[in-house]
Amino acid sequence: MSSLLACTQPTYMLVVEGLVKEFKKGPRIGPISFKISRGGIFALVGPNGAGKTTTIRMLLGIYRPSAGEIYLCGKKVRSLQGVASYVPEESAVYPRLTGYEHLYFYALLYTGDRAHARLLADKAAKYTGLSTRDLKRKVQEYSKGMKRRLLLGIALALETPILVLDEPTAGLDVHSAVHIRNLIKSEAEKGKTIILSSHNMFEVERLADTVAFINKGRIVALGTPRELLEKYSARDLEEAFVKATSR
Amino acid sequence: MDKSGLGRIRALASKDAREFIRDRRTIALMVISAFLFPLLGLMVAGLKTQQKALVAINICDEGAYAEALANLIKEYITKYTPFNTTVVHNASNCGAVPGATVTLMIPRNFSVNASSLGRPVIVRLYKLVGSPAAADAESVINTALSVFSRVLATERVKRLSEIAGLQLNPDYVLEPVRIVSEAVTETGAIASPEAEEKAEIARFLAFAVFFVLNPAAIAVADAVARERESGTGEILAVTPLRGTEFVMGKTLGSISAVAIAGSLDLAAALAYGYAVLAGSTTPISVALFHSLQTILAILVTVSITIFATLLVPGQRTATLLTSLITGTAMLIFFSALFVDIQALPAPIKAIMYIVPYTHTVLAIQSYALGNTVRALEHSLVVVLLSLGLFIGSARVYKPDRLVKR
Repeated sequence: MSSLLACTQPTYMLVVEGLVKEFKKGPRIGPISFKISRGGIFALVGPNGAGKTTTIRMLLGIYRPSAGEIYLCGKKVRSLQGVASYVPEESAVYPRLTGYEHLYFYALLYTGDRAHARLLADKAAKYTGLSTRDLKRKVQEYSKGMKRRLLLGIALALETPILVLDEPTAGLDVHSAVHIRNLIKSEAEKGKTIILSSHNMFEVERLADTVAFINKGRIVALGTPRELLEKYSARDLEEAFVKATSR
Repeated sequence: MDKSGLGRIRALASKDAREFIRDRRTIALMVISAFLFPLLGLMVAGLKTQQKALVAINICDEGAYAEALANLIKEYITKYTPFNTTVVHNASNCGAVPGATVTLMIPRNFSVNASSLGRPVIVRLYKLVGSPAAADAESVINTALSVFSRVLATERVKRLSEIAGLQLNPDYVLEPVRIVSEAVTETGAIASPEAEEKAEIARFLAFAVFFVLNPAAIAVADAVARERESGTGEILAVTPLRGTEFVMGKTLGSISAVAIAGSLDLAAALAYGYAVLAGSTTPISVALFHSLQTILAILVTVSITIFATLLVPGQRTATLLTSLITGTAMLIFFSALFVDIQALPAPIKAIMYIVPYTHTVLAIQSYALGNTVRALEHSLVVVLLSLGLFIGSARVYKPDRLVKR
């Protein structure tokens, strides 16, 4: 898994081609296509119900796509399950476990090795920015922001080549949000490929090198933030997004 | 399965075990439930000794027989009940004594009739309506009366045999036909004197399984549904965890609950022997086997619910399913108290055999009665069913089953 972090052979780390999900009840999502280079930060932006979560779930193997293909480091894969770490929008935790137990639990699930998991959990503990005392407390005593930092900490520390983040800084105070954004940037510089879904245009503009506007199950615009601003003659991404999705 | 697969199973199992062990409310409920049955027995026995009741003996006859009967009744009531007795000589009011729970009235001419050869001897009993204490007192009075009646009958037979000039044994006249009954096993061999007691213990122990099974099953049965509803399942679904690893991890995680339940069950089974069966001890081997059956019953419950939860979506459905399973368990364990399952017609027995808890009951009963082979056969059915369901669960596992829609 960590060898994929060193994947330099193809131009793109992740290639998604014509991904479609058809539900028995509900709208059709797709076709979705995009490419992300190694160490790239790709942002999926769209209103509620646009298909962001379904797209992420197809990528992660939670939903089996009705059509389309995924290539990881040039190799066709069924999904990113096991090679991507993920932080969903909802900070779901086990209330009776301590913060550190969470870190160790996920580290052991990904590595399967106790010694390695211990090292990753210690690394994740630093990423969370939570004190040792807080990490020894049961998570049921945590605030929403602390839970988010916990899950982000472990997702960032895991040696997965891909990191998928759904609204990574939602619910965090300014200091925590800045801390997390810096970590995301730093992990991308180390070669981690990051996919994030966000409503926060400021965040997207600051972090992403590729942005996809998604609306009604389809990508309506795709490019670097600069390309999108030029294409829609917009002052910022928010304006570009409004113009792209109102057409 | 490779080394990292085992590591993942270990991670999930220890996480689930920690969560369960820290769930103090459920553990407290399990402790209370496990000891509920022996506690109920103790409470009923204890409360019975605290009953206040007055047994009045109203003597309206002046003969020696009336005095003898009154003394006998008084002796029995004092010996076998916590009730008070009072003797009243009230020839003017030969009826119930006001304030008494039970009044035994010995009428006029009682002694004359008792000493005669052919007259009936009647006493009257007045008992307070709807009083369990009155029923207890009546039962003891009846025992004393049957002893008194036997003495009178023996006297009459002796006197008649003297008149007839015959040598008669009063016992053979009074009870010409006697039953000698012996307990036998299914093979027809004479059963040991303790077998009957063991059978009774086994019947109650089989019922007692439910008290531990119920909270333990509820605690572990929603292990999958809980992941789905809390949202943690969405993160789990993305990890390298495979279906087999998920099912094995969840099952091994429930072992902590099962181990606690098994220990509680063992303690409760032994307590039951002392408390409810008035000092008769539950043999340690029977208690241990009973604990094993409780563990298997919980495992099969876990396997059914994991399989069903992976098949159907929604917490409500999972809760409904758990209630249905524990309800079925209650039905089986309760029926086993009063019904001999083995003696049921084949079609009914076949239906009951589909339910794993029937095998739990039959395993406990067979083992207590010394039929170890049959007990193991029933245990094997439960083990195989659990195993089959675990394999089925691993097959139906899909990551989207862990995600709330």
